[in-house]
Amino acid sequence: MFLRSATRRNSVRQAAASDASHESFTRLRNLASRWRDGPAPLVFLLPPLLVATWFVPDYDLQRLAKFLIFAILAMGLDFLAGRGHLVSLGQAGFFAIGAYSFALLAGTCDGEPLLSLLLGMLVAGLIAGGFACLAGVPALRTRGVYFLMVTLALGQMVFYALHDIPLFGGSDGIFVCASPRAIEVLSLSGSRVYYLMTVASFGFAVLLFWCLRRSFFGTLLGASATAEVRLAALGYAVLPIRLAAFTLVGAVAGYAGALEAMRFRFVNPELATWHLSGLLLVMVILGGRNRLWGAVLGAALVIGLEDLLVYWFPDHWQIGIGVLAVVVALFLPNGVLFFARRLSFRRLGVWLVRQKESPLR
Amino acid sequence: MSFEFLLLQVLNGLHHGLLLFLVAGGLSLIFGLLGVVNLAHGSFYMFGAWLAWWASGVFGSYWLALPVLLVLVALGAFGLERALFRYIYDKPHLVHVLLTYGLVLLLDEARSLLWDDDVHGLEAPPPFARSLELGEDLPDYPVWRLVVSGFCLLLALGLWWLSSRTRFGAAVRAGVERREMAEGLGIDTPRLFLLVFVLGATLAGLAGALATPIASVYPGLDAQVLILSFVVVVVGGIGSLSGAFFAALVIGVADTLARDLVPAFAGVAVYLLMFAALVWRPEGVLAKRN
Repeated sequence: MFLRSATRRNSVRQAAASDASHESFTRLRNLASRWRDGPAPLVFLLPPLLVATWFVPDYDLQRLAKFLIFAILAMGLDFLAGRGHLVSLGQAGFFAIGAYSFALLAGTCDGEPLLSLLLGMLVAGLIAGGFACLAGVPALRTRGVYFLMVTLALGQMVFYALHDIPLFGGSDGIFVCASPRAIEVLSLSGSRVYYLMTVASFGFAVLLFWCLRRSFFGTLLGASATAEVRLAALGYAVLPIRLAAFTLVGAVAGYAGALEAMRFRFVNPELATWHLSGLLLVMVILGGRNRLWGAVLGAALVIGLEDLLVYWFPDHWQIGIGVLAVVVALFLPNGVLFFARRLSFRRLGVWLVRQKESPLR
Repeated sequence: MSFEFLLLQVLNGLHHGLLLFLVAGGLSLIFGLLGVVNLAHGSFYMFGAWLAWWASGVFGSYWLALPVLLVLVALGAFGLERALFRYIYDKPHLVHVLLTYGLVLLLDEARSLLWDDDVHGLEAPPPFARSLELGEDLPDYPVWRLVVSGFCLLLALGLWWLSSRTRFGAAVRAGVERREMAEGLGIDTPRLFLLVFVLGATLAGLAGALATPIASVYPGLDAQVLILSFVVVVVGGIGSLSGAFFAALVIGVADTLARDLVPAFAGVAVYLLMFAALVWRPEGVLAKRN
């Protein structure tokens, strides 16, 4: 309160930078990292995704949509776990809450189909965010391992609630009861509309998390993980920062859940299974944590591998995912992006800097 | 619902809680000492249960199967610790979760490949294969359940003795409190880690084997036990055996009673209890206050 705002902000940035993983970048490496952590790759990623709408068969569009939904989920989890060190194993719970909310709400609005679907998705996100906020108050009082166990229990609680409460249709689940016109949008002939909505959502999610990472809020969240005492000394309350991040990511997971509900037009408690939360963590770490595109890359690798495995070993495909998780944990704990950086960006950067700074020039 | 029936359900809940303690006690010690988040701990329980069912069929006797399966589970845990776990002790929790999540999938697939994905039951072993008749409107009470409860109580006493009256227990407690200090005093922590890991896994396997003759074995046993054990550890406090003991009893009774009293919220009750406990004391209800 006594420091001027700008000074205080700088102190927070310094506190956040005291984390060993934030190295001081040279200008060129800064440029490379801006590329890597900025939205620029969208320019190359979106056109093929959009063109695919007209050239890829429906089934493969569904798989692509699945990848995009998981990429959104993984980006959210990465913001929590990578930036805020809040390793949550309960994201599947909020995903399922969003999906069920959408399934129950979609029928209540009979306006313009696209608008009502969009409204349903946003409300589903809000509901999931509300639950995340409610659950976050007790859960965020814990740290580290406790937080992990508490969020795992949270996801399991959602699973049982969806399973046991009659309104939610037990283990059979419920159908998404959208209005007939909205169903038309989602039906087989209209699945391209759904796919385009997913692509757009993915694009927005990338921009959202890019902004969050750059924002002062993102810095605060990072500082709350690495320099909690200094942050408190600067007059910030840590719990509201964490709660805001947890709520926001819960809302994004709920929105993704609504997309998933639309994909099958059917929801069941399996959406809340903790295996899904575990799979999300595999994606985040495989790609490279605390990197905007790490989660997306991880989602692409895991979903792609899952497709191949289901094709090759329909009965025991989980062996492949298990081996992948163990191998990544032992040999690639910093993820593929880190590995790639070590191989190329760093050497290229060092080489370029040397060229530029050579005294002969 | 009569008073006698409720009393019987409390007894069932205590039985449930005592078995849970065998799993959660080991889990809590592994957390406290090794700092490893072991999602694969429930898989040891699952393997104990499935091995009990399988080995009883092969040897024709539960009593012959029991030592064999304990040795098998212990050997499995020994192998996993040497081959995988000892390399990740110093890594962040995220890596622990990733490795043990992979192990959960692998062990579950191994179970599926070794046996099948069906539900199997097992008779209670000979001297205890009876039920007590309690009255007109009460269900019969299996003797095996009483035997197991008694045995678990004895084991809990044994664990208490091991942890508070032996050099090994003192070393473990020292390791939980201040690892560097314990190492500085010449305690061989890598060996201690191995012993505690194998002990915890074997206890979980034993719990699975003891539960089999009443409950059936089925896929998905691992996650069910694992997450309940997590709740116990959260309520009881990490690294505390006595905390795990009392928390397991409370959770066991609450879980069993909720199934009778509020069936629609049966699955949720335990977790609500955990959240209440967290609001009250985030470091675990029975954990020591700093």
